[in-house]
Amino acid sequence: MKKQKSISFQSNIVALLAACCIFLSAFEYIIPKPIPFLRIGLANLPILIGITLLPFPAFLLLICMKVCFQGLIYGTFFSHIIILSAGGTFSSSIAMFFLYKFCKKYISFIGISVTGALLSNTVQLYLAGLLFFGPSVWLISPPFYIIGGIAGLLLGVFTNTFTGKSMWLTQCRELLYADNS
Amino acid sequence: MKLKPGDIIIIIIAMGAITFLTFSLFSNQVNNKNCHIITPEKEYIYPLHIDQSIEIKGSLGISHIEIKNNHVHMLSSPCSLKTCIKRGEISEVGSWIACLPNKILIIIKGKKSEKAEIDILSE
Repeated sequence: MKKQKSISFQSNIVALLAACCIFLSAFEYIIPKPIPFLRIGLANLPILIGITLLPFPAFLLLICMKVCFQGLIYGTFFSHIIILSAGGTFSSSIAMFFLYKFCKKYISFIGISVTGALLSNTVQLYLAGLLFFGPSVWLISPPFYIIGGIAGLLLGVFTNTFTGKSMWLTQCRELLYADNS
Repeated sequence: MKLKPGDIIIIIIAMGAITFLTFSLFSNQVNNKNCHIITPEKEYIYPLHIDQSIEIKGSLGISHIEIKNNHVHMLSSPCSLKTCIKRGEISEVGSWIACLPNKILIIIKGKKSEKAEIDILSE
C-alpha cells in the first residue's frame, strides 16, 4: 500500500517537473539568440532537480517528455533539429544522472551541470557535423562551448542553493524514500 | 554553497579543453594552403603540407612538380627555356609558377598569412 502511494507520488513529481520544463522552454524561447542553436539551457533545471528525486526509469520518462515538449514549443518537433535536441538531451541527462549517483561525494551540482552542458553541446555539434552540415560546423564551437559552460555553471550554482534550502525538496524526498529506509 | 574538489577538476578540464580547441581550430586555418595546378584540361589541387612529387601532363609533355616543406617547385619540364624551373620555390599565398610552352600554371591559394611575400614587381 505504501509502495503504491510512493509510485503515484513519483508520477506527480514527473508531471510537475515536466511542466516546469515546458514553462522554462517557453520562457527561453523569448530570449533572443544570435545563433539558432545557441541556447542557455534553462529547461535543464527541472532535469537537475529530477536527478535527486527520481529512479532511472522515471527519469528517462522525464527527459523524453522534455525533448517532446521542447520540440513542440520551438516548432521543431517534425524537423531534423529534433535529432540534435534529443541526442544532446539524452546523452547529457544520462551522464549527469550517473555522475550524481556515483560521484555525489566529490562533486556538487556545479560540476554535474557543467559536464552536462558541455556534453550536450559536443553531441549536438557532432551530430550536426555528421548528419547535416559537414565538419565545418566545428568552427562555431568555441563560442558555443563558452556560453554553454557559463550557463551550466550558473545553473549549477542555482541548483546547489535550491537543493540546499528547499523545504519542498526535503519533503518530497522524505515521502518518496520513507518506505526504503 | 560550496565547491567540492570534483567541481574544480571539471571546471579546469573544461576550460583547458575549450582553450585547446580554440587554438587548434585557428592554427589549422593558418596552415590551410593549397597548391592549385592548372592545365588546359584539368585543375589539380594538392595540400601544401603533405610532401609529394607529382607528374602533370601538359601540352608538350610531362612536367615534374615537387611539394616539400610547404614549398612547391618545378623539378623538370619539357619546355626549351626552363624559366619555370629557374623561378625556384614558392610558398606564399598568391605566388605562382607558370610554364607557358607546356601550358601549366601552379598557384598557391588559401588564407593570407601575416607576413606576405614581396610580390614579383618589387623583387
